[in-house]
Amino acid sequence: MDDIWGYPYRLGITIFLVIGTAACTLIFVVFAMWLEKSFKDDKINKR
Amino acid sequence: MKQIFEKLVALITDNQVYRSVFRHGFPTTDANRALVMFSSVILHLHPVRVRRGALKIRFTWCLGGLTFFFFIMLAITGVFLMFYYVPDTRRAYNDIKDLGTVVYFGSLFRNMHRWSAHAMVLSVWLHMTRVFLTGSYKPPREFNWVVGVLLLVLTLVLSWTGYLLPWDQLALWAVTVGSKMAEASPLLGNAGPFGPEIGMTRENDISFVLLGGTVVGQSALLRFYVLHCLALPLVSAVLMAIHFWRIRKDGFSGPL
Amino acid sequence: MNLSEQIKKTAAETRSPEDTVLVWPNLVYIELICILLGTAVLLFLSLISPAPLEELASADTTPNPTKAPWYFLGLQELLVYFDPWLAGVVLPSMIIVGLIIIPYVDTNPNGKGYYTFSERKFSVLGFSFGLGLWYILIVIGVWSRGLDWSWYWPWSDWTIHMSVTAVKLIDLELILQETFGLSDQPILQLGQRYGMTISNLVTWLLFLGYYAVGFTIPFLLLRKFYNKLGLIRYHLVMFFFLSMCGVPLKMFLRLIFNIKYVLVTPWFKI
Repeated sequence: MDDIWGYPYRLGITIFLVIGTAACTLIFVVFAMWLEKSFKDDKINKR
Repeated sequence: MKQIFEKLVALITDNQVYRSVFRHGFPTTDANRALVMFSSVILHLHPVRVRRGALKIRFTWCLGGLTFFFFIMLAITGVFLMFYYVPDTRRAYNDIKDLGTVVYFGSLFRNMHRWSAHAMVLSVWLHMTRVFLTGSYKPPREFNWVVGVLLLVLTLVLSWTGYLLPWDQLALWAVTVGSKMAEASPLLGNAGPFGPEIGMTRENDISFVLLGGTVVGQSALLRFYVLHCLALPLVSAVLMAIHFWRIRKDGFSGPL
Repeated sequence: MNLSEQIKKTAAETRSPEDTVLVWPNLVYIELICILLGTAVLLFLSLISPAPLEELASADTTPNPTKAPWYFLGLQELLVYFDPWLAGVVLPSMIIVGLIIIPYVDTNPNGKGYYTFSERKFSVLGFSFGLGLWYILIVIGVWSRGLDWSWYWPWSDWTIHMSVTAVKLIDLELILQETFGLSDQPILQLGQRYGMTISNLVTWLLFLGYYAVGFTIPFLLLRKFYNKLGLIRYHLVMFFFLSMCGVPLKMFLRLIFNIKYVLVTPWFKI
């Protein structure tokens, strides 16, 4: 366990990477979902 | 008051010189508002009419236009900086120092140049994200996406070549990191896979071509200067012209 | 055709029932406001945060760490996990080529010209994942890398060196050799420099197997997806998608299992 938590905090880096990537990805997806919803009533939107 | 104003307007507009530049009256009538799009080289990037939905900021976020604006800003401030900068390793650093201390508005122009560069890199990325999310690259606009990707690469390379010019520690070592990567190119670099096998050495590989030598020195500075101030902006301008022209030809994808 | 006829024709063509507006003044003024706001923000930033100028360039003193400009720090961060030819040349080239082919491999007719997630889940998720990875690597490069490119938390003491000797990295083929007691003698001599051992062959199979399995599973389970794309598009999409997923995969192998290289040859190491 010590060599996973020990320097350079590899489990910490891994968790940071996973959560960070997921969070960044989510920002773009939520952005797309929000804009899809906000343009929903715009009939001129879709042709 | 109104009469004086109208007379003044007539004085300015009712002559051969004004008419030679602007071939129509003020864009206060629908006809003139259409004519302004036909007769102005800059405004004719636009169509005459757009759908009402186009006015919503949250469709485009103005990102493409902002990127172009940052490019113009960089060209203006860049020309100013070129007056005071000589790409000679013995004086480049001092020229930049002078911009911050001796030259009137020198530091303002340098700061504006730097911030516009950062802003342009970011806005290019965000513009690409927006274009992806609205699916605006789908047929018939595939090729314009390709041009856009090339412009993205050019933006990064432009920014990177500019990084060397102040000739301080930050510049030298950031570019050294990059040239080390070039040395590691497969086939083309002396330290890359199959590079030595096909005869790449420190004196003939891609890094040597980029730097004009084996280390970041005078020839590298000159090369980066010419690329940054002349070659790459020219290529970018041509690609931008194609980019904008294709938008008008293919039409806007969304409500725009 | 004279000018006024042309105007009438263009106006008629573009005027659809969905009520359009004139670009002047409606759009042109928005652009003007954008330009003014942009100028104001640039001026403000320039005044509060001046451009840095460090010591005169000198080949004798190497700053520690040497950092590339922020927009390349994602790639520099990859140097921790990959050799320079991959992190600095091949992966960026693959990103560029991958971006270029997007419009030619995306056959989904939906979502053209409007925001949608529900009508194109795979492409939006895939693209967002790539962007997410790109941005998080930049965040790490800017705010978590200190002396010797070691990892520093915001609460760490950034002035002392971290002990790098604490990590012992080992190639996958050596792990296989030790775990399964495989021979270290070459079974196949390829040229003068490359003697392939059994464990080396296994790493080749694992590496190619990653792509092979990745190509096969969607083909078997998501036949509709395959049929929609066709042979060439399917393979292009899967190659770039699997390579993109391979980047974080290799990073985890290295972080959790101490694996330095997955595949070793005399010419290149992955």
